[in-house]
Amino acid sequence: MRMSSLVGIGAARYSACTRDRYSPAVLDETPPTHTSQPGRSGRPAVVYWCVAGAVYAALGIASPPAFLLGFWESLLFVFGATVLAPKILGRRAR
Amino acid sequence: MSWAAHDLEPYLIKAHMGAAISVPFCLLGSYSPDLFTKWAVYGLDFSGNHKIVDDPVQLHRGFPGVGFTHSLLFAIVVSLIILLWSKHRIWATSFLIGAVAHVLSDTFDSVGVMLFWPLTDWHAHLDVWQYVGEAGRRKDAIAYYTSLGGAWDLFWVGWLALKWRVLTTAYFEAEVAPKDPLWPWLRRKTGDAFALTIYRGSAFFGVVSVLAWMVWALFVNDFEARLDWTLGGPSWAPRQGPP
Repeated sequence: MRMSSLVGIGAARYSACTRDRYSPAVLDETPPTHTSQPGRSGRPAVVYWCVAGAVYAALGIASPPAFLLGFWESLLFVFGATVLAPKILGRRAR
Repeated sequence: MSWAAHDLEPYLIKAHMGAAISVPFCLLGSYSPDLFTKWAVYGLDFSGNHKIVDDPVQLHRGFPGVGFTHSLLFAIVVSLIILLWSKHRIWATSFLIGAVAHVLSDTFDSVGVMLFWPLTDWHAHLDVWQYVGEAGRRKDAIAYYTSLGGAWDLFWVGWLALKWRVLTTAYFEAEVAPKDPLWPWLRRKTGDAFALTIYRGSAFFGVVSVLAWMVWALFVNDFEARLDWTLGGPSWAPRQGPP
């Protein structure tokens, strides 16, 4: 028997024996690339957003009618901070 | 009335209920009771000197008036409309939970809410702090943030600080965007930065506004600038609401 046939049979047996454990459905599952537990890598982002919050709070204290009456008034600021975050912190630390 | 609590509650609900909650619809529910009337309660400017209705309290929480928006029935009816329109149970449930959270939060003030309208126009009110909306935004801010209302908002800020991870991009990517069809649609239309802004905007404003209002009320404003954490305070505010 040619070697290539033996390899073929072996591969088929291996495939049959291990189908339960390594079935395509399982193999196709993409491992999570993100985590909801940022840990240490989240600290720069926490500091960044605390500073952004302090800046907005200072604006609000200076002029409550302009900044503190509704959340929509803060959206432009939050959008700007969100756009700037990856530039300052790197993509993963938004 | 509560100020930033309505901005923050949906994030804590999301943190505890996970995929069962759509944050935008929970926020919409949380805003809905005040959405069309708050401007009329306060008048046209910050001072409260330019009123547009004679009885803001009756308009906001009474009937006749639009006080029915602060009832359980309103929350149920609107969430059923959302369910019929969207066929999306999570959106409808999220709206319902957000709206009920708002209504229950508003029972803490002296006017309270018509919880079981139209069965009864009885106001559920716990009198923890005074309702001062009729005096305009400026005085209401001072009253609220120097009374136990401010402590109530600080409680929500503290709780959200413990659950700060719900505000991270990683949480948004892993737990929010894949589980609510609204987000892929919004990201396609507007981009990631805008979607993240919509997701986090209310939390950012809620946290920052509590701190800013408290500093302003206690250290910048010159009217009754002192904490009054007595039940039913502040003592200078005239009594509003049912006996």
